[in-house]
Amino acid sequence: MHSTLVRAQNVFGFFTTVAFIVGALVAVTGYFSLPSDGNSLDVSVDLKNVQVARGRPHYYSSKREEYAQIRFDLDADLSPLFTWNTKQVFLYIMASYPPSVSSASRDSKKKGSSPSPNPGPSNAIIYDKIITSRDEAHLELRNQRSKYQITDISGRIANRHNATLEVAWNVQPWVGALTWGTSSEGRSKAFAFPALKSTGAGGGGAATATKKKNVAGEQTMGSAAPAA
Amino acid sequence: MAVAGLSRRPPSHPMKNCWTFPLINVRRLLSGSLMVFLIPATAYMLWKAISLITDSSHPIVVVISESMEPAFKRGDILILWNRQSLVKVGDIPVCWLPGRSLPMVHRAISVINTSISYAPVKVIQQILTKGDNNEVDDIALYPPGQNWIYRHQIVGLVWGYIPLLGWVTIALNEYPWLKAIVMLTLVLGILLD
Repeated sequence: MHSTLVRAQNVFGFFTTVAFIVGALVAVTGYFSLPSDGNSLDVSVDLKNVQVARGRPHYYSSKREEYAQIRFDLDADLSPLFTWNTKQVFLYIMASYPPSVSSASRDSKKKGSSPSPNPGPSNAIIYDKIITSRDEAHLELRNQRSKYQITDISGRIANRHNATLEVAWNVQPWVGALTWGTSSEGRSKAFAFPALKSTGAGGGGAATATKKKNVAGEQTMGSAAPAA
Repeated sequence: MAVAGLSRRPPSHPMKNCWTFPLINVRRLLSGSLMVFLIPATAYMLWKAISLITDSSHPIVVVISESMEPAFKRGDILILWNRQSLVKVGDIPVCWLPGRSLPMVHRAISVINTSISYAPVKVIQQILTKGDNNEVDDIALYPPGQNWIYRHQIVGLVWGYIPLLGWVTIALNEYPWLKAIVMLTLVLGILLD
């Protein structure tokens, strides 16, 4: 009953029981001390500039396609997300734009059959940041260049209307459940991807002067060239 | 007082009615083996129960690579849930591509929705993933000719995290002698009790 092996077993068993209980307590209390409503966080994002160019934005692009480069302003205060159970916060900004009409739904409209359901917007992350401590949780970015270029599966991204930028985050705990959140204030105003740059300089996202084609009804907020 | 002439039969041992061979008591061996098999059987039952609840073939995975650091380190355990029909950008799908021996845990950075009115699944999603710790997205890691992953290749989305507990699995897989020792200890422990 008191041999070394039995003592070692008892210690190990006690250790695992305590570790399990402490882990469960940390997970539960950490989850409930996160802000329940993402709207209470102070985040806002504004589009500063968007340019559409044609080229090979990715290392694997086998053919030239249209891609968009975005510049934005971001104000975010994510410190309420940092509880004792928060290991890191993954902040990301996604561009949300209406999907291209698939040929299937185009055909069904022609035949007069029931309209295909709206599949929802396409989303792509244009910028992300990993925040590991509360001190870094205040972000103020001005005219920040996006990390990733947006391409669409159809190869065309120009002249799409009703696109927005949205801020969202993913809280990564030390133990327990991962949570995702977004704020209704963290949505930019709707903008449109402008027409292709007519200079035809492919393969680069340089901020050369954009000659806009005159497309009626286009929201021009997104196409204004910024003061560098 | 001596009772002359009477011989006493030795008292019969209760176990002596079964087959007893020298050194091995078969009944005790059989009941001991039952106890030994109970352990992996219970584990398997729990695993399958969790699989049913989460609707995932592999509801608990161990992180092997460092492509999602600093969030997921080698040896961490991830718990998955597979009942979502649509994937959102920012989710962390675990995708098992055809022909691969291990799944890939990366973040969905681009999701394209296409509606197909004639299919039972109303929305087809094309998902592009990228590890947080990687510079570029995962297209180089997909099978040649495939530029997106699809919902049916996803084994589950990550919702739960337990640090460090997966090192047991990693050690057992990388050092087979360790596995043999653990099994032997378990078996001996049951049999000798």
